[in-house]
Amino acid sequence: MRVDASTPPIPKSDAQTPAAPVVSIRGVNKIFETGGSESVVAVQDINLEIGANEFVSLIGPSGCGKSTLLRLIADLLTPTSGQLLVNGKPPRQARLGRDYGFVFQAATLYDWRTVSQNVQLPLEIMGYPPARRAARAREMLQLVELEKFGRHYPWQLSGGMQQRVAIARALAFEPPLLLMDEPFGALDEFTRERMNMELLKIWGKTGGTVIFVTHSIAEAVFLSNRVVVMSPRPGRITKVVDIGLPRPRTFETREDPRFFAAVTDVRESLREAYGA
Amino acid sequence: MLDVEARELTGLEATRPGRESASQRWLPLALTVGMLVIAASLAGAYLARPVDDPALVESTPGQLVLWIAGRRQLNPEALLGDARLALAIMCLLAAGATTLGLAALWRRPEHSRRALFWALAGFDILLLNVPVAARGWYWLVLAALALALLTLFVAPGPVSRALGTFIVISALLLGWEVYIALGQATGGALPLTDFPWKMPHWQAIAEQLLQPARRNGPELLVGILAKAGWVTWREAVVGFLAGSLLGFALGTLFAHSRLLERSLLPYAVASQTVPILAIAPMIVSALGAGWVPVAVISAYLTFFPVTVNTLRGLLSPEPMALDLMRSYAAPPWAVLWKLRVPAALPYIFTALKVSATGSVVGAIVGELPSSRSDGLAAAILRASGNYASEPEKLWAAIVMASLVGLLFFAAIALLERGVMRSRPADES
Repeated sequence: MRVDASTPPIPKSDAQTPAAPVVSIRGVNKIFETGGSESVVAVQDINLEIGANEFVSLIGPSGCGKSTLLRLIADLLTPTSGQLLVNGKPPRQARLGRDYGFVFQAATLYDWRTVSQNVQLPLEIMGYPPARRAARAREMLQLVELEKFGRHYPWQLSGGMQQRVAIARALAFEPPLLLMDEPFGALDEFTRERMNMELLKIWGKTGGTVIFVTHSIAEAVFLSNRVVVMSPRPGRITKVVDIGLPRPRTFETREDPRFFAAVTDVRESLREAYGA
Repeated sequence: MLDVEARELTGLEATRPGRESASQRWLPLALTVGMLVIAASLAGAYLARPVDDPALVESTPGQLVLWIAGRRQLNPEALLGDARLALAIMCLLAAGATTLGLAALWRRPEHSRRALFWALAGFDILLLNVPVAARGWYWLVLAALALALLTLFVAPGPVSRALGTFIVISALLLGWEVYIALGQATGGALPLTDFPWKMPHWQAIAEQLLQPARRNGPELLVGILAKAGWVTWREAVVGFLAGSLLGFALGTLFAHSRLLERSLLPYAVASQTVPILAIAPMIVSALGAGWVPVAVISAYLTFFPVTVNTLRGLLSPEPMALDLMRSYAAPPWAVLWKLRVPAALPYIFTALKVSATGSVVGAIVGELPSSRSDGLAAAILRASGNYASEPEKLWAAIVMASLVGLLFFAAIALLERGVMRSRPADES
């Protein structure tokens, strides 16, 4: 289904009234059958609403089901029970409508494509005309400050740069929702802090809703409006911490006493979640 | 920016050799000097001999010019002079390459293997030209070849795949000649060194290639074999293309249907256990004479590796790469052409290289029951009938058959290199 340049190729979700949540989760459970009689409850009784233009982090120790929850929203997994709506639609409908962009733990760039071609991948699949694809890729690479690397191959870039390309690719078709699954987990502390700044800068330009999975307290606090704290086995939401830090957030934010207070708040909540 | 530089630095992997020991430095130098002395003295010896010396008359170029002189009624002495010059030039080229190797060992050790490669090639060529009749000279060539192999072994510098392959071929040539010598020394006690399955010298095989196929015939054996190879190769190419397409189609089908994979793959395996010699006559009688059944048999030997490797390759993408496609709600064709097939290409090319040589073997086997008289199979049959009197002809046919397979393999490898240019270099 090719579309010419004049008509928008993606069926955009209807304009949201401020009150309508982008993601609405009610009583969602996910149970993995691991063969035989055994089964693992990955997430249990999740209730969460995320509004338009919010930046929400899911945080918790390994195995708390935060990635599972993100994959449920993305329709990469199907809930065992409960109701889940993305942009007011069932997740499958939202996925087919290309309502979200997903950034994985690994950059998942295709080796045989140049950086620019990687950014164009979703646009090719969605039937954008070639000229618009190229222009869009240039724009996106400019956004992540990699405009000079369009002709490079992914394996010629560092890990942080690769992940920036992955972000450019996820945003290329202007999805109203960005889902990020520990995107900076594999990076060193310094690169990660720099990438946090970059991400906020990009978000400042593009807007939209971001759901961000991480196991770094500092990262979650620095980035988010709200931090959703989860407990392991079975994974459930134990607390939602509002982060009142002003925006724009800068390197100085990390030295702000309010930042430390928020970090402590999240840490306490995590300890409570563990029951320790 | 900094992280790019760091990446490039680690990519460069320090391959510079550390401080080498004295033996590492002087041993290859000494060996190379030995090679140089041999090559230079051979050149001098050839230039100093009269034109009727057996070392010249019995040599490959000597025999060739005698045939030319006989056919065109020319003065053999003048032509033998040209042959002598040709031999001397070969010796000088070997000497020149050895000198380059020497210089490289002295100044740029990391390039020495590349330079010595040409010296090795030079002595290989001499082995194909210097006759056993020139007793001592033949032994000198063997000695130089052994020295060259030893030098390449101890010399510093990287080893490319082509160099490694060539070293093995040269070592086989040397081992072959040494084995014959051992057989003669023990009075033919070793297998294949006495009548009727006597191994010929490589110089005799090269000479036979540059002699008429029949006594005083109009055409050189190499020309006849090249034509036969061309006929067989064309059949093999058709079989290769058909077999590869079938293999790709089956592999793609199996990758998408577990049911078909489970139920049909065992039969694809079974098809390869059926002796092709047994079913080839049936295929020929079903399809009639001509090149079609030959190509079919060739395809039969081609499709299986492609099927298996296509299947493996299409299933090779990681779950996350597939999730990415799912997150775009990508239709199946996009997943296949934009992810699975590009990911499968390295696997498919591995299979294609195996199949390229397999298709040539298949074509030769297919030619036998279809009684084609102009392909390599006929040439091999004719030559093996006369093995006791002319063993060189069979080996010449074998050399041509493997050359056809090798060139086909090389063509696919070249294609692969072109297609895979943009991929990260892998270690294999």
